[in-house]
Amino acid sequence: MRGSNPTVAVSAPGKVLLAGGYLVLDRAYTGLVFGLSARINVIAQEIKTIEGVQLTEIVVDSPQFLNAQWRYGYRLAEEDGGIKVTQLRV
Amino acid sequence: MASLKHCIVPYWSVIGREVDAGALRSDLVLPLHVEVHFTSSNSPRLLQRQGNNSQQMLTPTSGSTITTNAFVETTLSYALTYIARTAHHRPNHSMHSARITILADNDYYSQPSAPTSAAAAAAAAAAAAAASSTSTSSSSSATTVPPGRFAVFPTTLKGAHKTGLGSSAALVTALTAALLSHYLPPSLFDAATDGGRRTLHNLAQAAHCAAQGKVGSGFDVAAAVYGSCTYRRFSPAVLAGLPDAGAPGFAAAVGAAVASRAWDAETAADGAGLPPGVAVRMCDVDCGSQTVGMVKTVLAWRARDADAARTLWDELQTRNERLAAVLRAGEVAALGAALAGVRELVRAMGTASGVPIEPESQTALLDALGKVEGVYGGVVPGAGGFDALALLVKDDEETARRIEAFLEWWSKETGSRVRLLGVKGEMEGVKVEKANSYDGWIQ
Repeated sequence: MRGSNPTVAVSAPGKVLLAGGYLVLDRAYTGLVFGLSARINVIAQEIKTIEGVQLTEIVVDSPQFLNAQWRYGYRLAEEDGGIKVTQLRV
Repeated sequence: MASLKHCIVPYWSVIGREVDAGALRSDLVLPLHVEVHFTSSNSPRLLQRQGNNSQQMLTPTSGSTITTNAFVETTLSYALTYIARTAHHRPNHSMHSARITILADNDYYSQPSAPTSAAAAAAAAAAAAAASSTSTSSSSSATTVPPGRFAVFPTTLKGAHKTGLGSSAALVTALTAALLSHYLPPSLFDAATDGGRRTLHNLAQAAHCAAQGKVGSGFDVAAAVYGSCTYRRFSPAVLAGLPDAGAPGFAAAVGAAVASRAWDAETAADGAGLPPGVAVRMCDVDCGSQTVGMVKTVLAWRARDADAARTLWDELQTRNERLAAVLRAGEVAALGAALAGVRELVRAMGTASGVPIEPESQTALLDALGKVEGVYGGVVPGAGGFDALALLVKDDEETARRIEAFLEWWSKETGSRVRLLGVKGEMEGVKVEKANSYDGWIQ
């Protein structure tokens, strides 16, 4: 299945634990947590490659900061180890 | 959880750990610097990485830096493994390369100068150019973004000033959701459905625990997925025995953990209410004081003095529930007393355990803020400490202005730096966004 969704964007809120600090570590108690309007936004896009060029790389950018780019290679690990991710030299 | 290390890692310090490349020149080991933050170098995850990277000599050019990002890397391992398993992908064939862009709304970091100034604009252009150094697209496109939505900082991530809001959980959750949405068809993952959110929650909890090297309560991931709620934690056993990422059997274990019926976290969205006209606001307190090992010390007290701790926690739970009930019922007049009741027992827990959960400086500030018109009261949120306050306030401009003026005065008087952040409490959790709302930031 080739099915991928060209560009997707998702956001998730930060949080504040208003009540229940420490107690929330124990299932016998609960915490009262509020999401915050400050969100982390993540956009995923396909990297177009020239035909015939095989590339397995995930490039992660945090463009609000200097030098904030991480590149990862990935491959199938042996013995059902899943996808092995390795940071690449920039 | 034998495979996970117990250690305390400050939020965001893990995003953008940075190594002086010079220090690595004679060394094979890429993640050496992680030892600075972790309590020991024996983390299974690190050993495994060392083994796999041992053939990669680092020969950085003078002055360059190598940065790792444990939360991003671990989340990639978990999410891609889950995707490959779910879609029966083989990565070298059909899991195409991807570009991931992470953007943090303002308030996670302090802006050294106004974002609209010429200096900031220049920094923005420089940062955009640096960030897109591997692409062919024009870096000047960043300047087309409406000013202010995502502030650009003239620093590295490590050098940025964090506000104490920082949430690695929001990053792990949003990154997981973006990867799953990107690679899987809606029939296999849809973040807008209950089933999709359950998958996202379970996978993000697993990745977040692995990245931080401990099984936490998970309230932060739960809030990132489900939004505001009352939260009862999951039993840690559900993540027990998960192999390290990439180790034999990891893929099956991740699949089983995500699908497990043993997840018993309770997230009651209707437990967290906010009356109309009332806002949750946050203050950033920058006073230079920091306390480490607070959780460990409080739990040691609880183990040592079990009966007293149980009595105190049971009563505190009652007061916490009362606060939630007052908020749900919109009993604004009762808010101040409910908050004061919670704070009283939080301070008692601090005294009994010897941990500054609500330090004296925060007590003084909260008490003074409570006298500002429109402020119903506040707490030191989460595990407490010196760096943040949460307030319940009347949601209007005048109140915000009064708080800001008061905090300016307070900062001068006490030699601290306390600011009202722009962020407010809101109900919604994970959200699928329109990609074009990030035009200018993405290629």
